[in-house]
Amino acid sequence: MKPETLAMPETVETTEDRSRLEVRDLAVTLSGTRIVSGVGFSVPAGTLTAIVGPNGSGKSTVMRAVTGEVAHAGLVRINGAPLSALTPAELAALRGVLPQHTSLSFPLSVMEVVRLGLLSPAGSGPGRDARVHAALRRVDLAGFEGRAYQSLSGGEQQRVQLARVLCQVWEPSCEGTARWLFLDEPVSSLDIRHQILIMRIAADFAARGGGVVAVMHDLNLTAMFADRLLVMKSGRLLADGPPDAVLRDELISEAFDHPLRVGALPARGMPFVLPQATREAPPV
Amino acid sequence: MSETVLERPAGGWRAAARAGDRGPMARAVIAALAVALAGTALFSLATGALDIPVLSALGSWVEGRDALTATDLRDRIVLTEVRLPRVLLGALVGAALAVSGAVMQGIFRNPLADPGIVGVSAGAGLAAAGLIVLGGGALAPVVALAGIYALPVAAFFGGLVTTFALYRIGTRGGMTSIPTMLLAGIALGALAGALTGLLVYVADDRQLRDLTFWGLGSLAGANWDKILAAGPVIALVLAAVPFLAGGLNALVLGEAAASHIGVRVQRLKTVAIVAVAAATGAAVAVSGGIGFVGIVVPHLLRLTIGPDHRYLLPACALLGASLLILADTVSRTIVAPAELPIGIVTALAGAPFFLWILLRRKGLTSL
Repeated sequence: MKPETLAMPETVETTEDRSRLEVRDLAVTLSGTRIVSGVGFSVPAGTLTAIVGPNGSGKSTVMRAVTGEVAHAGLVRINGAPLSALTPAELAALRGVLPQHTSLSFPLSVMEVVRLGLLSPAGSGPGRDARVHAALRRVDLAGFEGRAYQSLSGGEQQRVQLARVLCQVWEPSCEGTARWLFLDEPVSSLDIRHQILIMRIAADFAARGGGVVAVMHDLNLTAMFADRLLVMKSGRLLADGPPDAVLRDELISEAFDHPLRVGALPARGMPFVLPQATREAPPV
Repeated sequence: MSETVLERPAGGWRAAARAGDRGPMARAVIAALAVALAGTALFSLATGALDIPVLSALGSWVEGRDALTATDLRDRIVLTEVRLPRVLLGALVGAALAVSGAVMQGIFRNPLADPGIVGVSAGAGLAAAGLIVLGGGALAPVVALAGIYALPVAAFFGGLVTTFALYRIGTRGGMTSIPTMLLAGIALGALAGALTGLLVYVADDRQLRDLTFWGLGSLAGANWDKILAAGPVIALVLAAVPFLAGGLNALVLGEAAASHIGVRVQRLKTVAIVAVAAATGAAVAVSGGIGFVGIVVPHLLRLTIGPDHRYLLPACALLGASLLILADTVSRTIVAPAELPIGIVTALAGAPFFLWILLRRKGLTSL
């Protein structure tokens, strides 16, 4: 069976339609190797979009192109404006980016890290610090303000970085324009309770009118929270659609080159993915 | 816990620092450093072969009163023509070196990046040596035109070329490799040292005397001309770097993340590199190679007030100035009536002190 690919909707430039992320014919070449080619999608704000796919399929590279971190060919537009036309400050007011991992060059406290998310870090009024504390509470790190960032565990560091990004974008929309969160494997080093907490923060951001695009590995967590799935394989987009349309045995098994079975959670009819595996020795 | 409690922690800067906000403490430290700088300057003015009543002598000079006695006149000349230029030059050079070190460490995201260690000072010294040795020949018209600014300008471009080369060699595809950069700095420093050696080889006696001055570093030749030459450059850099503080703070997260929170990273790097080259060049031009100020001062302050560049940069300027004035006072009194080159004093005190800092830190994360 051919992988199903939903046709990209024709974009019409109306005002209510402008809050969307549009990617057309995206291609990225890193050190002479074509990593991503022919990727196109268009997601409206108010949705949580997950990019899934095997290691090396180009998920993170698509993310880095969309956030302006690597040079790309093709078109990327955020809320109607081409990426290349926006200054770093304009982009920073429009979207926050959570990297997979952040190591500091100098020892900052948790408070100082999260404060960096406040735009124009020149001042620090009481209202601004209140936002820092609130962001830390949201990621379940209240009281961690005075801790040294480098002394935290990987999962705690990841949540501090999310608090910093939340401080940056804060409101999911501003004067009718959506703000965006780009999250690169936001739950990769978290325990199961905090995985769900972070996904709920992301889903809530989308529910309140913001746009969220997240690179994800855990298909079940993705199925639980994502409104839209982009499946990458070998640098191309294999499928694009809502979780119950994309999470099908054949499609998902082909994407990951491994037999996978999709079931439905009895309670809410939500799909879940079960790997078919035996404890045989790995192929040599 | 209610938000009002979190926002205004009771118990002053200690409690604020425990709550992760080292700003109040940093401001207190900066105020203390400013007082210390004034005290160090007065101490240095009062110290020397002559016992001079500094405050009254300075006061009468500033008010423009005539010196009444021969002793007053002598005191005034020693103070205004010998000690005061020296203290001012020491303050300027110390501030320039410490701030250059802090900015460079911020840009390269490494606590070891110091203009002295990565060869920027050597490059500036080479340019200055080139001007001294070759300035009489082919470059004579340029030197005549530039006057007292010839040496600072040459040292500035020497520092700039070295910094830029360092940066280009260390950067591939937008990513700066710290080990490559440090190794390239050592190689460039050695190259500049060898070329300076070559210049020493061909120099005549008068030039040799001037060149020796570069090698060791000294404020002995301090006079108002030198302050006029280096002062404006250093003052301009010191006035400009606070505008880099926010960007340097963001850079602690890495270049990509800094860009994501709105920093024009490339422009920040360019401005910072020019500023470091200018300040280092001006400092090297008037005082030769003085080591360890650019690495010890920022490191010590980061341990105390944290890495926030909004506080770190002014604190570095104040502490760098104080320490260099102090080192110069030691260098000109410890073997009186002779003088030790100040570079020997800063290295003798700075190197063991730096090792002590490295040994006493508890874990790798506390660097």
